[in-house]
Amino acid sequence: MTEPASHCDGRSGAGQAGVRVRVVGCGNPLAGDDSVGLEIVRRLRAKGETECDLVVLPQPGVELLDALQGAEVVLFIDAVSSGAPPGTLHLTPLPSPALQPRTLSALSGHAWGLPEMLGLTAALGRRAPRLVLLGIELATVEPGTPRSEAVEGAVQTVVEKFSQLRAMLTEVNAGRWPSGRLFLPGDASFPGGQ
Amino acid sequence: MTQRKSGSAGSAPRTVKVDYLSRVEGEGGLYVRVEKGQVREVKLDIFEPPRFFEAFLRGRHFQEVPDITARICGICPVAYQMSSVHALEAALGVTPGPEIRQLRRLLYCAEWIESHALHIYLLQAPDFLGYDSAIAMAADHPHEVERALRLKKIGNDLLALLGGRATHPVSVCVGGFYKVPRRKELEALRGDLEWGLEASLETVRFVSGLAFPDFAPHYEFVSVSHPDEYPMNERKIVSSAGVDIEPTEFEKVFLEEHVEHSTALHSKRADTGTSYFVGPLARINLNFEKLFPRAKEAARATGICWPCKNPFQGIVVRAVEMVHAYEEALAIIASYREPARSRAEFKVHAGEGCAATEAPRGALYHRYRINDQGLVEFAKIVPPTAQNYRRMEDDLRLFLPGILERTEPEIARACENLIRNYDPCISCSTHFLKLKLDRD
Repeated sequence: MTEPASHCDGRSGAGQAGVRVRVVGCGNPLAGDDSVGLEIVRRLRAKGETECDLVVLPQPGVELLDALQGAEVVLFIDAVSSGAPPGTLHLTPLPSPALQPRTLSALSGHAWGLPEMLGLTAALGRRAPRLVLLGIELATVEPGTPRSEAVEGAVQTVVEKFSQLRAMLTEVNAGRWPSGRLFLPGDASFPGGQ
Repeated sequence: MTQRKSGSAGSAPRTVKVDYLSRVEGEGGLYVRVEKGQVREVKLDIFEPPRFFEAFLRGRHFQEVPDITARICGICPVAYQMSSVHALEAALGVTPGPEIRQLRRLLYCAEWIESHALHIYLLQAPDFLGYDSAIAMAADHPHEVERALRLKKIGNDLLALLGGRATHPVSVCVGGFYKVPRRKELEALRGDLEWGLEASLETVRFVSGLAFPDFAPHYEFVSVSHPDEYPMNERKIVSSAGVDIEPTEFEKVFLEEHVEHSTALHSKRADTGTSYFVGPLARINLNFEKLFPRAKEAARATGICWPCKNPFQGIVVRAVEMVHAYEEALAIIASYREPARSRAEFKVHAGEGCAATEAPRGALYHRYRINDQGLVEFAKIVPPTAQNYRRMEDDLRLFLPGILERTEPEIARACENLIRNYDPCISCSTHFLKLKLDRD
């Protein structure tokens, strides 16, 4: 409960490739594996030198619009529930036919979710960034429980391989843009695109 | 999203169903029964699951209460923090110093700004301009929507500075704050706040030009009242029908009761059983002279005859209050002195206390009893939206006869518009809106 609602790590989000990447961790810090997006951002901040804006949005609403501004690429990190083994990593561009709008907006304040904010961005004539979701398959969202072992393993994988993931996201014209891929727990090929 | 379930003409009952009332916080429904052209029954169904905050506060340490009650609402967490700390300070006999008092008003200014900017432009303006959503409105009114977003963001930034974060702030405690801002940090926001004041005045001009339905019921307006200040944090509770009481008398004058069709309690006057109205319209009608000068001047320039009884003009009142909030925020920052201590020291003892403060949606009453260990033994929370449900039903009874000749989707939309005047936060009171209309 001590996570700030929104925070930039103060470093420039533009890396060597000059592409500004923003990482947005979403989730509920009090609901088991749903805290995974917030935890990954916390560890990336601690690790430093990510060359990204690092933001947490525990309760996204209209504030999502700010998260879409001033970056070429926005990576959302959140828990997902698809029936895959817990700890599975889903790397997919958004919007995705596999993720219905209701899923993306249902839990946001006044139903101001990502589809609505993308609509508002377009209506205002603002440039929308390219969006990617890194979803971590959850095991439990029981309130007050710690993250599961499987999700902790996924957190470690993402943090360790973040520089490769970031490089992939910045090389938008090099054919390495994620096209929607699933990495089972222990899959060493994450984030792919090699 | 409006769905016509059935609509056969003649004597068979007719049903109109609005599956989901948009642009409000939470979920609920509306049932209307019409017989021989007369509105016989109006029930605002609140089916949001009850949230049991009052129950699970029991046994918690009093200093946890502001952080827990803030979780009741993502739009108005400050209100829940303010009412809880004032009530607990009453129980403990704590009186924070003047600097803390001003910082609390500044925190409330921030919440009013972000909540009012959201409601005026993104939730309610589409009703008056004929759009289904703020997104549809943004294509034709990008300047206004951009203004709204910046107005709201400034409120969020101020809230984040004072509260540690914009949603569910973490700096508020019984006795004061865990951390207070440096003067230079507040000074850094002055330019944005000055822009916000001018943009709020432009907002008043914008919403004053909207077309409002001719509807002005007889209301009993209820708000917090302070001898010298526009009501936010304290002190008495007054009404347009002559109520003038200390918060300790609140539960004797205003009663909550369970109604079968709602998971939220409904409030009424204890003596007459009648509904009453809390919110910006009540605040301004009972406290007009205490508005800051530019807000008062802007209110007078709207052409509205004050006191205003048309709930649809609540959108204008919110704009006026946004002017006030920006004006007062600038004044507080201009005179701000960093307090020597961020919070008052006090001894924990058993006690009971209550307080009412003004959430963006209206008066919010809390009462707590704590034991000598500082643990909560009893908690009572009366949110503004729950106080307004009975009044909303009364409004619908008065409003519906004038629109029954319209098509069912039009009736549904008009009912939604009327209810949105109250900026209801159904999440707080238990979450919107299925309309079922039965008529022969």
